[in-house]
Formats: sequence, structure tokens, C-alpha cells
Amino acid sequence: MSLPVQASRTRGGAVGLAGAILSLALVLSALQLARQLPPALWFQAALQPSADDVRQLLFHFSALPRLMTAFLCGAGLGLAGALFQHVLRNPLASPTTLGVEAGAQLTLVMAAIWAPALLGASREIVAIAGAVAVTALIFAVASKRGFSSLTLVLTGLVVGLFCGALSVALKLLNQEYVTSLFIWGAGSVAQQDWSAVAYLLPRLLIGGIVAALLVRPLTVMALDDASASSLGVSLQALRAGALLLAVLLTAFVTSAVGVIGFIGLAAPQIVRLSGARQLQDRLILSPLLGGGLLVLVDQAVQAAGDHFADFLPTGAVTALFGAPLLLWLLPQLRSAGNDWATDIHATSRIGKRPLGFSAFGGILIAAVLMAVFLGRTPDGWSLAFGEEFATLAPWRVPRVAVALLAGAMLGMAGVLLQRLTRNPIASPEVLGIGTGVALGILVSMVISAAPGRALQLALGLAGAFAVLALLLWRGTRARFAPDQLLLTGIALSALLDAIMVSFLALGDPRASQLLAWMAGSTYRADASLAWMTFAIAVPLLLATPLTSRWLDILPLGDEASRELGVELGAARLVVMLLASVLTAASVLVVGPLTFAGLVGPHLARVLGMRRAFEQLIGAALLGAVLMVAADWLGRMVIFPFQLPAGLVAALIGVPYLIWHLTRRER
Amino acid sequence: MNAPFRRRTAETFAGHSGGADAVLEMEGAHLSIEGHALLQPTSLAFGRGRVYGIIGHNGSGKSTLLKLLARQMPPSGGAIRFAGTPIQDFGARAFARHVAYLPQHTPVTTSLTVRELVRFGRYPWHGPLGRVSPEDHRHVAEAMSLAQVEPFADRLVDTLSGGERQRAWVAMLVAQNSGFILLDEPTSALDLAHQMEVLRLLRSLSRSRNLGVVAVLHDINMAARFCDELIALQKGAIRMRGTPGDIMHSDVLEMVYGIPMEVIRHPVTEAPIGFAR
Repeated sequence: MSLPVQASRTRGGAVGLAGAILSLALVLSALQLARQLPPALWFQAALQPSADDVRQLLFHFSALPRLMTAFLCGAGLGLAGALFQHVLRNPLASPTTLGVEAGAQLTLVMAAIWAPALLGASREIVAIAGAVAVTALIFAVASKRGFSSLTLVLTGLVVGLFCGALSVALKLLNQEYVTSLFIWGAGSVAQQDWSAVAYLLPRLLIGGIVAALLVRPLTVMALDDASASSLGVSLQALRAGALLLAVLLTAFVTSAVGVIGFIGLAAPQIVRLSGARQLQDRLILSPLLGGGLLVLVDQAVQAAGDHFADFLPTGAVTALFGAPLLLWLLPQLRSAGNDWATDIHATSRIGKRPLGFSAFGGILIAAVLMAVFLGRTPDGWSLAFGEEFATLAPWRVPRVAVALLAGAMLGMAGVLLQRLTRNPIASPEVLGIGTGVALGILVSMVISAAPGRALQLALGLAGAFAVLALLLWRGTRARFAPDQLLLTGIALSALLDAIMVSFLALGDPRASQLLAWMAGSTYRADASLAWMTFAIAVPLLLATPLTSRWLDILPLGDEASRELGVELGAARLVVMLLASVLTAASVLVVGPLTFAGLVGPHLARVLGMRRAFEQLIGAALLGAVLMVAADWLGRMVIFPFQLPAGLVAALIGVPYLIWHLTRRER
Repeated sequence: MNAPFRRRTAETFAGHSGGADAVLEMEGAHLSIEGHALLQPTSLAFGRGRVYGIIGHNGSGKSTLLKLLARQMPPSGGAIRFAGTPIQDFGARAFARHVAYLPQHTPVTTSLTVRELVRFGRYPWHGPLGRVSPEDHRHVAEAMSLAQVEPFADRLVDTLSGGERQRAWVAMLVAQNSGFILLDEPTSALDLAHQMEVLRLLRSLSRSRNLGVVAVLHDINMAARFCDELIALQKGAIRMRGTPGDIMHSDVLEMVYGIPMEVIRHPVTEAPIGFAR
């Protein structure tokens, strides 16, 4: 038997690939530039553009700086990603997956709204503050868990999504900034002068030199800790230094152009998978490939049409290109994912009896009563009874009902997905299933001016099922390695998000409607929506526990499930269908960003509900409590204005998860 | 007593539909993956009440043989039958009521207690929605007592030692109450005392319950000591089949393992002992 020997591959493949992408980028750029200005005039236009020739001015102040900016940003992110992956020994680490970009973005959005002067003084300080804060938070969490790769990426993703959600909230509350913030936030590299290049070039050069100086000690670090220290390398300082460098590079790029997803993950991965094993090679090739990729994408955006070129953010398009590329490369990735399994058990306690369901039922009833009767008026807090309640009920009751049912459905969907994929952090949100629904609803808005709820539900369902089927298809091929599944989910989410962001950035009139829905607004809930949700939810909530025995056995894996006589194909299909319908029906009313599907099952397990049946009921109750409370808080906290319930749920749920992760001892 | 319940218990008490002398047999069954033959066409029959040991070097096709018998993968050709019926004609649960299988690497048990794991063994009988009957409870209790896992019945399986965990899985298979139990290296992760314990349990179950046990075993001396019949595989084909007395000769072992072997008599029990020269 002959097995392919990875080690025998040389870096030739990687060099070739990087070279090919760079030359392709160069050729495309040259063609694009030639369309704007004859090559004979390039030299003159670059150095001393004639003020009379608009083409030369455009070439000098727009086309060239844009090209340079794209390359520099891609290179910076590529280098940052390579450093993250090496130092953390984690092939999934990157500016995007660790939430560093999102952190920098959040502080920039906050500064833009509340302290524009600060932003004027120094964008980079603001961005660095955000990036460093997020990194510090992630490491504080990870250090409690012995720096397992799971915890690191899980925390990073969650923090990233959280910062994203918070940014959306701030944008919603400050409508006047929305459009420009969206374009910036999605990473447009369009330029009007050389300031971005002048800003980035020296910083990235210094970063590159520091990285070059770190190559040798970092190479030694690839050994285990004991051997490295015996070779005289101070590990802590080195690790901190290299990480700080990666964080700074990310912050520079983000403060210059916004979030450019995926380049920092894709470039080092591609370099690694195409055969570069030496750190030195990876640190040289990753920035080159990253720069080449981003230029390529940017040129493609420009070539796609002048109409879009000004608005379509390149950072969103990188995800369009990067995500499928990564999906294609993934099967080659053989990374150890064993610490995932242990994490399942870290969160389970035996000996502690689960809190009675009646207790949760009581909490839910209390939450519902509060949400229905307690409210704020201009005069202060008030309990509504009798006649006053009769007036308010048509407004309050439907949205509380919708929130409750959606939360319960998401909780159950989370349990189904976690047990189906044998992944403790699977959820409709994390696996991109909610995003699939969102895309379906987006399609419904495109094909119909006023889409009916039935059409939205049907297309949302189709989106959910398509994403889940793709995940399972890939999961089966990769033998359900949890990290593969998660990475597939992230890639899909990023791809779908990119489509959504592009749609929003194009200034479509339906964008604000879509935005409100994505944030999980229950404003529009009326009696008919409540009854429709009720009619869908109740049969599903009753039927799902019937799959409990499958859900108990399926996490044991294919062999054991087959051994015990479980019809694997049928069981999987039923569970998948249930999870899709539950997700679609709930996302339709509360948006894709609630995290109720992650928090509900997780909290249920922490409270000692280990068996599928208990966990299903517990997660449904907890998800319902979360959503009802979120809906109520969304109406109360900034009265007379409202925050969308889905957003509030995310703002409650995510800090809970992070707090929980820091608290648990191994 | 309702009707479906009565029907099930009737089936249980009658033994297995295949009957007490039903045979698990393969006829010319073989498996190739991408042109590489993992198992040559093989014909074999296994009866109940006996312990079969499958021996051979690594890559000789032992696990493949077991997986085909357990219906974990379909053969590329040939037939595998249980009680005269091709195994692919059984429903998933029906087959699990006849043949139980323990994979080489037992899966990580996502926060299950031993008792919960053993109860899974009754799934082939009650199915996804059926009622859990007193009969099911009786089998679970009996299996736990036979495998001696009661002292740690309420502990999480993953917190147990290797030997205890292996016994918990064996208990699950026993609760399944099938006519045949197939085990892929059930003793590989165990120390000597636990190896003896598990093999002794399987042998006594084979006698007391008229159970057909087919186990892939690494240690030739353990195999010779506990099995009624040994099947030696080499390069995906059967090289030798017979009682331990037939197999335990230096020339046979040399052929099977591909290194010079010698056999001596145990000074006390007179049992043959093989070792590399």
C-alpha cells in the first residue's frame, strides 16, 4: 500500500501557486489600468500627473492607490493570519475567526458615533484598542481552558459575532450614518488619494521586518514547550510579541479600510496546504498570496462593472471568493480535533439532578406575565390591567407569543444539530443555517415586491435545508470531524453574509427592511403572524421529542448506531428536516442572530440535562425565556425607542456564554 | 397486556427467530477498495455456543471480515447469510436483534452513565417509539450483573478505567440479547487481568446463553486459551482453521505471523504456548 507522503512535498507548489496568483493579479490590473490610460502615459501619470488630463488624475489619485492599498491590506492580513496560525498552533486561527477584525471595527463604529474627534485624531489608536481588547478577552477565556484550540476559536467566533451584532445595533440607532458605515464596514478599498498607502506602507514594512527577525525563534517554538525552553527561547515573551504583531497588523488594515474577511484565513491556509511547511516560507508566501488575492478580487470587482465598482465593497467580495475556495481546500486539511470531544464532557456534571422542569416552566410563566403586563409609559413604570390592558394586548400579546415560540423552536433546533453533528457548539447560528434562511428571504424580496409570508417561509426553508444538506454531505465525507464541520459552517456563513452585505451596500430601498428583520425585530408581529407561528410551532415542538432515542444514540457515531439497529439514513433525514423547519420558522420571525439555539442547549446541558429528551425540553424552555426576556428588554431599555428582540437576545446570550467559558474549570 | 408487547415477548422467549442452531455464514464474500483486495473470497460458517478467535498479522483482513459479518459495510461480492437469509434482507433493528458488534475503538460517550449506555442495548427491541417493557429492564439488570458493572453503574462511562469501560460496552452487547456477538480486538487496550476478565466473561456467556462469539484477537496465547476454534488470516485469505491444538504448532504460527515461532507446553496446565523465536 502506498500512502501519499506529505513531507515529501516541497514548497514548489506553494511558490508556484503564489506566483500564479500574483501574475494573474498583475495582468488583470495592467489590463484594467490600460483601459483607463494608455500605458505610454503611465510613468508620467504615476509621478507627475498632468492637471489637465482627467484620465491621468484618476490614474494617479484613484487607480494606483487603490491597487497599492488592496495589495498592502491583503499582505498585512496574510502575514497576520500566518502568525496567528503558527503561534497558536491552530489552523483555524485568523484575524477573522479570532474576532480581532470585528473588535477593531466595533470600536471604530463606536468612535464614529460618540467621539468623532477621537477618530479624527487617530483612527489607528481606536482600532488597536478594539483589536487588543478582543484579543485580551479571548485569551483570558482560553487561558482558563489550557488554550485548547476549540476554546480559542469558539470564543473568537462568538466575540466576533457579538461585536458584529453590536455594530448593527449602533447603526440601527444612528440611521444617518448607516450607508457610509456599511460600505466602510464591509471593506471598500476605493481611494481618492495616497493617504491610505502612506499610512499602511511604513507600518506594514516595519511589521514585516519584525516578523523576519522573529522567524528563527518562532521556528523553534513549533517544538513543544519543554524542548523550546531548553533551547533558550523565552516562550511567553516570544508568543506575546508575535501575537501583538499580528494584532497590530490587523488593526492597521481594519482602521484603513474596514473588515476584509477571509484573506487572513485563506492565504496562510492555501500556502500551507499547497506544501509550504517551513515557517520562513509561510511567512514570506502568505502576505504575497494574500496581497495577490485581494488585488485579484478588487480587479474582478472593478471589471464586473463601473456601476458597482464604487459601492460594492471588496471586503464582502473576498468572502464570495474566499469561502468557496476554502470549502474546496478543506478536505485536504487533516487537523487533530480531539479536544472537541473532551469539551462536551467538560460541560456536563453528573450527580447533580437537573433542576425540575416545573422550575423552568415557572420562570417562563413569570417572564411571560412580566412581558405582557409590565411596561413603561412616559410617566414611568406601569402595570397594565383591565381596560388599559385591553388596549395594549393586541400589541403586546402577539409579539410575546412569537418570541416565546421562536425561542423554544431555536432551542430544540440547537439540540438536534448538536447531537446530529456530534458537535457541542453546533447551532443554527454557528452553522450558518440561520443565514441560509436569511438568504432565502432575501431571494423572496428580490423576486417579489411584497413577498407573502408563505413564500418567505418556503424559500427560507429551502435555504435552511440546502445549507444543512451541504454541511452533512461534507460532514460525511470528512467523517464528521467537528472542526471540519464548523469550518464549513463558518465559510458558508461568511459567503452568505457577503451576499447580504453587498445587497445592503448597493443601497437597495429594501435594505433597511432587511436590516430590521436581520436584527430580529418583532415589531411587525400581529395576530395573524402569531397564529401562523403557533400553527407551525406546536406540532413541531410536540413531534421533536419523539426523536429522543435517536438523539441519544446518534452521538455515539455511525458504527455504534448501526450496531444498535438505527436506520442511519432515515434517522438523519428526519432530524435534519426537523432542524431545518424549526430554524426556518423561528428565523422568519426573529431573525438569524439570536443565539437562542446556542445558549438554550448549552445552558440545559450545564444544568445537568444530559439525555436528549431532558435537553430538548430544557433547551426549549430556556430558549423561550431568553427570547421573551429579550423582547421585553428591547421595548424597555431605551423607551420610547425599541431594540429588536433578536439583537437583545444576542447581547444577553453571548456574554453569558463567554462568562460561562471563563468560569468553568477543567 | 397489549398486543404488540405480547408479540415481542413471545419472540424473545422462543429464542431468536433464527433458532438455537442458526448459523452466520459467508459464502465467497470478498471486499476490494479501489482495486485493493482487503479480503479474498471467503467461505466460513459460525455456529452458536462456540467461541471463535480470528488471528493474523496487521492488515491481514481480520477487522474487514468482522465488519462484513456485522453488516457495517457491504461486501463487494459473494453472500453473507444469517439462518439462511441474506443479511441485507433484514431490517436494521431485526439484524441487531441477531448480531451485536463491538467496534475496535469504542466511541467517545457523550456524557452517558454506564446504566444509560447498557440501556441502549435494548433499542433493537423497543425501537425509537416503543414502550420500555419489564422484559427490557430485566435484560439490562442481568447484563449489568453478568458484566459486573453494577458498582459503577451510575458513573460516567468516560471517567472509567479502560477495563471498566470495555466491560460497560460488553454489558450493552449482552443486553442486546443477540445470538451472535462480534468483537474487534476487545482486549487490546486492557492489562492482563482485565483481558482475562473480559475473555472469561465472553466464554461463560457463550456456554450459558448458547451465544456465538467471534472475536478478533491479537494475543495468540489468549486466543488459544479461550477459543474453541481459531481462524488464521494472512493477506486477506484464510490460511488455517482449526482447534487451538491444530493451530499451535511452530510451523503453522510461523506461516501465519511470518516470523520464526516456537511452541512449548505450559509447565502446569500443559496448554501450548507460542512465542517468537
